[in-house]
Amino acid sequence: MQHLTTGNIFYRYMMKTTVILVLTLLHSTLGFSQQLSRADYLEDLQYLKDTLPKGILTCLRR
Amino acid sequence: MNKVDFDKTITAIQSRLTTPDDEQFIAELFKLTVAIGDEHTHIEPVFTKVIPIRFNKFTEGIFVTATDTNNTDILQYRLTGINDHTITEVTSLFKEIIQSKNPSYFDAGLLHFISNPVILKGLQITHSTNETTFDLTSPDGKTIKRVIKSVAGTNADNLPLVVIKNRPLSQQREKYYWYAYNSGSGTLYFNYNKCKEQDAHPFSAFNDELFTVIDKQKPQHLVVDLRYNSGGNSAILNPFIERIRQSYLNSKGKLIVLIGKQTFSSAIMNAIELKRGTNATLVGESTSGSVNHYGEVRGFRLPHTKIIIGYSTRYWENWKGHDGPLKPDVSITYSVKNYLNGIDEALVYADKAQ
Repeated sequence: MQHLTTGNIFYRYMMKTTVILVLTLLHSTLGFSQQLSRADYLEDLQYLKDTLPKGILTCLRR
Repeated sequence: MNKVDFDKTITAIQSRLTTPDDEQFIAELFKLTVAIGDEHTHIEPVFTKVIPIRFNKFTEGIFVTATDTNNTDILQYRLTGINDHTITEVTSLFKEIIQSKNPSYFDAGLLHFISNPVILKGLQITHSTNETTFDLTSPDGKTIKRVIKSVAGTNADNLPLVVIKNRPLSQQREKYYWYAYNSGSGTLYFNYNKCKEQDAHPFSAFNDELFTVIDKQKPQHLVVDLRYNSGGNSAILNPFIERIRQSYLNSKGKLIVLIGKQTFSSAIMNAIELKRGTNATLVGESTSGSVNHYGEVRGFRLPHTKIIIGYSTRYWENWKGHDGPLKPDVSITYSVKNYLNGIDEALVYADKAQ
């Protein structure tokens, strides 16, 4: 059985904080450079197709 | 474009997006706006890279008028191509993404986007957004290629670039509205760059200052320069228009309004009001925007690419029966030789107008 001393608790806390920090940085870095998939572009196009004719005041609404 | 054609165009875009990237997608959306044909319906991608160079178009061609500090030696050089595509080919490709029925609208768009690496790659003029090779000709006829690296930024107009010395008066200040009086020619020059209130200098205060100068100096001509005004709130200028109607300057040959290829939206409304409600003479080039146009833009954001789609919600009939852009009463052409010597052909005309 492991005894949790003050030093142990602090060590675990630091490890946990470091892991969270690394994961956060990794996630934000990957997110920044993330390439969109073909499905993402097609979804955007579909969203445009559905949304634009509802608002625009040109022949698209006539 | 009717709804059926719109749906067909979307389907065609879908079929072309086989291995899409941001650049291709953005180019395709620009092409869609050309097909819709409404000059206020547009797309706003989030651009993060820009080529640190600006160009102006003159009768002799397109010339470099501003660069970063690494490339000041190519100021005044003529642009002949980009990445081995001739300027004719480049122009032709840009016509796919910018409406070209009105040459002024096209030229304004071309000069705005020609330093955008995403647009250049989307049109397959270049293969990378990191650097661009420009084909240039020096004033003494020497041809060179210059590779320029992209820098962080949204558009070249906002970059602190090195500009040509001796630029004309109209280019020398960047406030929304300002004036300069030339006692030699007796011309009071009023530059109205943006239909918007300037921070810490309300238009009403500026207007009072302007008319104080008119009362004191009794200028021979008043020039209102709307050439670089892309719009905003058309009502800002109303106090000026109301007072100039009562002034001795409201007579033919004394009140000159300059318009050009960047005059757009609310600035066109102001030019029309001055043309129809005063004795102003319109001088310059046709405007980029149409007299009667769709406007009052609203928008939405696409969920993945975050591109904003701006669309028109109102039809502005500013001059019943008028078709196309606002045209000048007196057409002016601009030469690069005069530009480099600080000479503004429109102001030269205004100084001599009778």
